[in-house]
Amino acid sequence: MKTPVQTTVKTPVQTTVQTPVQTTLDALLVETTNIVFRRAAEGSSDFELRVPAFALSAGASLAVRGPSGSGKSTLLALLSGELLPLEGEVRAQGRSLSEMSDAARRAYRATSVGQVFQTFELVASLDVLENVLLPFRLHGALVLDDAARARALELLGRVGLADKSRRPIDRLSHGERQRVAIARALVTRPSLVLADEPTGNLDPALKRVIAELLVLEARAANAALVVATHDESILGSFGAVLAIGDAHGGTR
Amino acid sequence: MTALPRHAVFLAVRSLRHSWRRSLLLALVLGLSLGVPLALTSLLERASTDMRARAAVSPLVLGAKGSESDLMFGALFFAATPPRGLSMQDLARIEGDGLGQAVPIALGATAQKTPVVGTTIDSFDRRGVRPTSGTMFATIGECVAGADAARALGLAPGSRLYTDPASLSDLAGVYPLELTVTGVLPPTGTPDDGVLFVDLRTMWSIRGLGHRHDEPAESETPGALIGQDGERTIAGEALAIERKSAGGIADDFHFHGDPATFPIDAALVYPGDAKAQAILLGRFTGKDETLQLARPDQFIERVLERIFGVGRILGAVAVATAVLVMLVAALAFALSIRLRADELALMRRLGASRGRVAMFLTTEAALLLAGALAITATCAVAAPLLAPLVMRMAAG
Repeated sequence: MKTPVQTTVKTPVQTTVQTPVQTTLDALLVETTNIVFRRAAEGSSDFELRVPAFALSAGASLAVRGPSGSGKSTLLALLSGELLPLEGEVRAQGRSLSEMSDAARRAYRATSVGQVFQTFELVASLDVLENVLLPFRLHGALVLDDAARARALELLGRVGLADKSRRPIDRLSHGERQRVAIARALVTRPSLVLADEPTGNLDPALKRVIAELLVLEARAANAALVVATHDESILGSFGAVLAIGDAHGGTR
Repeated sequence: MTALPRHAVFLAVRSLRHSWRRSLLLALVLGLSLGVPLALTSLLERASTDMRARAAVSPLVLGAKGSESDLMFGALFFAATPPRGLSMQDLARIEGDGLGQAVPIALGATAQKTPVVGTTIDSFDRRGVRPTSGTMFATIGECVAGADAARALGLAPGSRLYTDPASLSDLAGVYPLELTVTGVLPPTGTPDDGVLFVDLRTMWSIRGLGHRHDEPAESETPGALIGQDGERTIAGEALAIERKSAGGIADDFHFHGDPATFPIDAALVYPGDAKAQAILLGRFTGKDETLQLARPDQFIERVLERIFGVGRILGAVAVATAVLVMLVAALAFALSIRLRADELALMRRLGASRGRVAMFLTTEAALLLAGALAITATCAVAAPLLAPLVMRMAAG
């Protein structure tokens, strides 16, 4: 099934893009109706993002591509519940994020969403394992127990950092840091993993390795993966590509 | 501990440890800025309590005319040299008509840098102090050690030590004399703890007023004899007057001159009653009077007033400084939080509530403050130990 997605950036450029997104109706994790998000921008024209309905199933991977400012990060924030749409809704596990309380949305984000960032966003005062386990210290719905530690060590093994679990973050390479971030995103067994430019700060040789690791591990965890990127070289790693804010359109 | 405080403490400790130089500096600066005024206060309190207590048990002090301060700090605290000019016979002016008792004090010698104080047994009777181990000194060359002095020098009954020569150029002054410790006094929390007490005659011997002669012909000291000239034995100079007092010295130790004229530095005067005290005080107010009789309690109050005057100014400055330092420290902490804005934003994005993030920061600040207060408490507790120093400074 193919779902059209449309983004609109008001003046100076207006773009409309259609992209196929695969969904499996029997295991829908996230579905969106026609979303409209708008933000007033000072000194320039307002930013507006329109995303017609789409859905993601467990194990699916979607790359959202587009130039800076096209709304990739905004779309991820709408999926995590950090931002709420003006019109339309994002449904996760059958519930509308807009109708949840703040606390429930935070709980959803903590327990069901894993996040990877361009600048890794690791805590410098914690070592590798402590960083992976950080989510358990941030929300009461998550319990830091032996099972969580075992899961963290298993993930570190899977991303190739088994022997560096007690190493300070500042003694890791960029590639290693993003591996830690991937392990952290998956440690809570989320159903949705959101990655915002996860290869943006990596050497070209590493980009594909990390992108594929992300896809592989998300699939192994049976989580849906949405990656925002403007990096053409890694698009091949994902099951589907959604292009936004790009005048040429983009389908694959 | 429930999960939330445990996580908060964990993250706070990690963060403080990660930037340990900043943490240590902040805790030190905060702790000291609060600790210094507190230390100053407790130090002055302690010093004044000690000084008042000492003055309270010493009704009057007799000495030669001159600096009252030198007389008081010398007689009460062994921390100054009283004006010269008092001798044994002057005590008759106190005791002659039974108005009071005078306990002589002679200063001016040290043994291994510890003050040696010459006095009489009366001094200990007056204060009700007896050695906890050993016995009182009985004869020339014997001493009892104050508790602190005994500990510092490792003295016990039977220990021997030499008095220090005053100076190499002062040949007529203080000569080394061997002292034998006969007893150790209990701790009293007064300057008595830090000195060695000897009999007045021992002090006079140290000052060169008494001595004994060896029989040169019988000396076993190598090199003591230069030669034999018929009936005469020619002795080495070192043998002529030997200052070693051990071994049945009482027999051959002797003084030249009249002991009544021998010098003392001060006398603690215990009047029989209030009336006697008034009479005695009046007795030393004459125009040509060469002695002074003064009340330690009044003197100490005057000194403390001066010290506390300075202390108040220092205290005000310290409090103002502490307030400023706390402001600066709060600013530094706030700044460090802003530098960690990314980290805190990350926690929020991963699902932490505003309250939880605030709790993490509060815990970190609380731990830092606890460290600072530990330093403050250390200052306040340690400061009274410096009380003797204040007394010494006051003595000039």
